[in-house]
Amino acid sequence: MSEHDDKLLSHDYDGIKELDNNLPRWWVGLFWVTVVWGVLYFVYYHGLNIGPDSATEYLMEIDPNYQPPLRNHLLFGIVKTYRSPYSPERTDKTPFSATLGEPTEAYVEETREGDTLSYTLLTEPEAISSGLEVYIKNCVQCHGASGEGGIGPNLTDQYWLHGAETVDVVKSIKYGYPAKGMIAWRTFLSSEKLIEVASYIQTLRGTNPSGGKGPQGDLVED
Amino acid sequence: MDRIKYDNRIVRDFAMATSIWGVVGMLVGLLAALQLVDPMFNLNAPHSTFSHIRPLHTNAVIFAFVGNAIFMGVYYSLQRLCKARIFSNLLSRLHFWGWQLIIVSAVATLPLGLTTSKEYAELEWPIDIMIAIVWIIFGLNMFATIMKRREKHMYVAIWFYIGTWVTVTLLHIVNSVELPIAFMKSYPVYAGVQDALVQWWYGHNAVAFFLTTPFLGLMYYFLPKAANRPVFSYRLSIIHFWSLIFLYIWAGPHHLLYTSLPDWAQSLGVVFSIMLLAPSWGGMLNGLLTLRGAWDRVRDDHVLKFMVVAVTAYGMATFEGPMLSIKSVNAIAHYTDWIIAHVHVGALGWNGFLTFGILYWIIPRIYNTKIWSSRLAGYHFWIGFLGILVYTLPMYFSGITQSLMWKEFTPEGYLLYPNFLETTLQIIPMHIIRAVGGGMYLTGAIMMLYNLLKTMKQGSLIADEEVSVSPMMPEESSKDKSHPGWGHRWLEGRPAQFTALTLIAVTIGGVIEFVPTFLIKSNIPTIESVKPYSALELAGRDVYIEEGCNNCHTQMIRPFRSETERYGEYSKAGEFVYDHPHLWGSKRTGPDLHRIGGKYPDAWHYAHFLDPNSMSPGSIMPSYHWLARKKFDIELVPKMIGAMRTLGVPYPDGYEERSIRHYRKQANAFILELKNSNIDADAESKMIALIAYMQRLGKDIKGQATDLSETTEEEQ
Repeated sequence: MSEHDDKLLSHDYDGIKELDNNLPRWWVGLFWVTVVWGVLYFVYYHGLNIGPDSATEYLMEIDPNYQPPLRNHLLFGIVKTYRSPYSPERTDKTPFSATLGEPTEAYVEETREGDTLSYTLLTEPEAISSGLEVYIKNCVQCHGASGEGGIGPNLTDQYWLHGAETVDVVKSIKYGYPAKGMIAWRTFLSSEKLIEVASYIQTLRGTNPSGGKGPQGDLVED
Repeated sequence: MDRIKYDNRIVRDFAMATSIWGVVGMLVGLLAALQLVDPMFNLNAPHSTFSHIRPLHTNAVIFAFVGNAIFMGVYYSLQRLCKARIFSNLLSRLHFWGWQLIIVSAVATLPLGLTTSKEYAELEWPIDIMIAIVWIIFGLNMFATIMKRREKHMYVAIWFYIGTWVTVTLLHIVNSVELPIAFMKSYPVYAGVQDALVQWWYGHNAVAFFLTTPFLGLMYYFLPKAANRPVFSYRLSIIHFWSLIFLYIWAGPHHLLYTSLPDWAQSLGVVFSIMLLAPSWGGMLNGLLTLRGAWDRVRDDHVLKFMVVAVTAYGMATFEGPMLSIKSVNAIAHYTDWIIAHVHVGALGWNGFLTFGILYWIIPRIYNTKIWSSRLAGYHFWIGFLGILVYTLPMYFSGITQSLMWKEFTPEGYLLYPNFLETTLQIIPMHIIRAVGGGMYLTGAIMMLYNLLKTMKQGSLIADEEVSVSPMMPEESSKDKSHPGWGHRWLEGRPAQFTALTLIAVTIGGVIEFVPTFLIKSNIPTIESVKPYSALELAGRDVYIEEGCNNCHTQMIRPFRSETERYGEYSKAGEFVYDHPHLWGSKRTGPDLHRIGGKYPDAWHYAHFLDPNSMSPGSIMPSYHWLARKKFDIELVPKMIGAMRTLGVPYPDGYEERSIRHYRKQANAFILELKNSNIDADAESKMIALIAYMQRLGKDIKGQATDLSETTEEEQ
């Protein structure tokens, strides 16, 4: 500790004395580095607007090809409008000053109507048993261990609320009917798993388990 | 020479309160830890669920344990540093009993669900007023003592006491502006983003000015006393004091990184947190370097042992804090057990161990004896120290594990763990080890309490310690160059100017962050489809607050693919404009709920609240079955709506008058829906209100807000 000369100051508080040592140099250096870093950070993100804001960062994460539009910021970025990433105008280059104060678009979700994929029934035993696995993990709480129904409708009878075709069943699972309580599973299950579990459900029809829930929906004759 | 008497009785009283509340607070913490291992520890009762126990624990250890410790240390050191007896015995007594009354009120109200929901400021408005009064009594007593001092200059410990008092006053008052609607029920005037910003300006600076600055003051007195060494550097004290209090205030937004808080405010939180590293370490350095030449004594002296670990823990926690404020680190750590580990390095290490060291130092002195068992104190040190390690290490492991599980995708682009519960069950073993660590730490505290009581029994209290002190010496002339420091010496002799300058230093950061967020509209862009809550949903929101759901569930989806995939579109500032208070939460023990509305059927929620295990096997969420039985006080509804209108929520004209009607109408729709699933529910039960709130959450942005317009005749 030769860098400190440990000179005692004259004062004394209840026996506590203080030394007149200089600030440790590395400490002073550390302080300056953090201050300079802080200024650079703020200028990088808000003064020069080089760094992306949170919303842009998100768009870059969900779409690797996303090119951030030219950003026009006023007052170091303190004043700017929010753009929903789902807004169709998201590549619009209108200066922010022109859109200030306008309400943002409501959020638009991917819909079942826009989904034109075809889904075909699987019959291989591996696919059915894989579908059973998905069913046990996710569906039994509401539709029962044997598909007899509970909180959700009976899956073993002839009555269907939203169609009995494989494509209808897949879409019911994929997009759900949130207003009626069916969860949208598209973020949880891959398309493959969706078809597998729908195919398994198709095997339940007519099994007539005990404690089956009463009919709901339209009668569908085989 | 003047003959005066130092008041040791008040020091003893606060010391006892510290030790006893410390044990109580830690015991409650242990219960909370066990509840996160197995839900049976929720005791299946409305007042003992984790959601009520967790705020009780935080309030008890912060305000009861650490609070009393601050007062103990201040009353002991201030008299000696000022060479003056404490100003007023009456104020001392009022301060002591007032503070204990506040703690008892907290114990009596928090388990009942009487809470504002704002973290570390959960206590309701009558208790807030009581806190303000007692805090002002403390201030009067402290400043009056400083005024009658016989020492011209104030020692650095007193600077920290002044900084603490001024800032806590400011924080408490600004964060507690609320509109009472009943005894023990209020709504804050701030909403959504603004409420969150004020809350975390408060929450962060409660850590800064209740857990840090007063303890630095205590360190500056008790460490050199115990080590009998001069303080390393007077200049360092000056620089790190002013830089610390000025910079600390700005850093609150680091609790809100990647939330709906405007980006510029988040960035201020980041850069000021990084700049805090050196000022914080200034305190650690001045503590550790003061021990130069006394390190050989650290091995044998239990007081110094505790203090060395305390200062080291302070250094570690204040290194980790800035690192956690870097956005990419925060993206991993936020909402997880990592944060719990971080705060416990500070709480158990810095606050706990410094308090223990001071208690072991003070009690024998004011009882004119030696510690009853130095060996037992040594055991306390080791079990406490190992307890900290056994507590924190698994929590770091747990936090990182769970966070990575949340973010893991399959090669096909699906979440690998779409079921939140899987990630919870993965970390249960870590929670078991954490509870063991907490138990060890608590055992140490009980050993200390026993040791102190034995010490007190073998000695006798010197209630009034008589000493001779010299009268105040005149100030050195300004030409005296024996003192370094930019005229700071002048300031040290002038408490009023010093206090004013402190107030200015701690006000700047808050003003610069608040004013634009409150006044510039573009910071919180409006979303036209966002509407006020219906009467029933608002009631459900109150139930959510009462049951403390925000202790485990966030309502803030961050803009990450892993979160939008799991929960839905990320949260927007404009969605919270009618949220008095905000309920963003800070920890995800369970999943985020911001877009829960419409995701599950009403019957699912009903069954889940009755018994979470029926819908999510293995869930550690406690049962809230009493919600089905307890009725919501519907008579209060018009008052709630009126209060919201006063706070600026644009309800349609006359909604107050028809709010009860609308409440029943909407509740009956839920009853009908539940009947389809063979559930007979009570329309007035808290359950229905809470389900209505759940089903509303996150829907406004999809254009599905509840219609509050006047219902037609036919509909009635």
